Amino acid sequence: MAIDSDLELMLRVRSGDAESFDLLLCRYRIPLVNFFWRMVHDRALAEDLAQEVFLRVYRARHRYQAEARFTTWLYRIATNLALNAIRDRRLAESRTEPAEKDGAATARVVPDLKPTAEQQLILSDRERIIRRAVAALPERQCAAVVLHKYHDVDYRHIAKVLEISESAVKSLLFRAYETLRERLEPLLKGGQL
Amino acid sequence: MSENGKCVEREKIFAFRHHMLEPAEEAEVRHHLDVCGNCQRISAGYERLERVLDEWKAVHPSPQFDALVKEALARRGPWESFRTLFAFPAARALAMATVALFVVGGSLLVYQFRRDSRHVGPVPSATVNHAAASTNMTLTGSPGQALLAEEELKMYQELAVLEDYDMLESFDVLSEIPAGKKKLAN
Repeated sequence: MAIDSDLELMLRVRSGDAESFDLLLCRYRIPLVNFFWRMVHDRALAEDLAQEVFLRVYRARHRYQAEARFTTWLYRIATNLALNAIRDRRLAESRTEPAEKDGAATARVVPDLKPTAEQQLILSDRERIIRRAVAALPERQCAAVVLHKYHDVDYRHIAKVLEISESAVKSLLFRAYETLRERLEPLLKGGQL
Repeated sequence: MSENGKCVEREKIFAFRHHMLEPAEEAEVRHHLDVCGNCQRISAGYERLERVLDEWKAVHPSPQFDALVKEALARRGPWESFRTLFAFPAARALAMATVALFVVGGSLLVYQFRRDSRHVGPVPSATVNHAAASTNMTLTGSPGQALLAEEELKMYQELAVLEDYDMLESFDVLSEIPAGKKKLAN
């Protein structure tokens, strides 16, 4: 049996086929939850945001244009939601902790990761270090790295998702990987931070 | 920065590793990497970085994830249903056609009304009757009220003339003034 393409499934969802929506849900729930997990670093929020993406896809099914690649559309919705969530959290943090604010207006606030006891057991130190390094990247660099490294989205599609030029994506990715290389230097040499 | 000045830039090595270069440029970098130990080290550094990043393992959604999505979809309110209805192209076209019909119909009615009111003709009987009724009503009232009613009746009778814009456009104020007063005015 041939595997239906995302596009075919989405066109069927548009014409009211609920089973096709279930297939899309099954196909993209793990990638989306992981995308948000890597962007917002909060499991519960990641699941909420992933659910919101599916709701938006369903609500916008009649507006879906078959010319665009489904994943480009899906990740554009997801990226916008993730960036909004990061900004909201940053705003909330700046309201609750005004004394901790320093002069670096452009620096991204690294979320205070408070893993549960269970998560603490699961996460290795190395993984936590990597997570913090990615979280400390500027928003767009973080989104570009997550899409590129963990979701196999090539730079052309990242450009469409982030609505910037391909050359801007190349530069964004280079700067992001360079920053990560510097921050993860001890791990690259085989040691710990 | 390269050691001997002939090495390719770091950014180009990064782009080569991620297939971001044009074919000719890619071949050039590949050829250089074959012979340059310094650039090979840079490339190997990127490879190590990718391996380290792979250590961040994926997580799995909670078992109730699908159920929660479906529950949220089922919770769609009447507004969402309304929006969904109008998201259909046919329904949207029908809605637009209805609005257009209302606009055209309304315009025609206004045009017809204005055309009728421009034509000089007999005063509409309904208006006269209304005015006459008010006169009759005021006959029983004070003399002042009767006078007002009479003036109102006169106004209604001249209404068609007052609204004849063609006539009003060519209305010459001086021609209405008696000859003696014209001289005074001059």
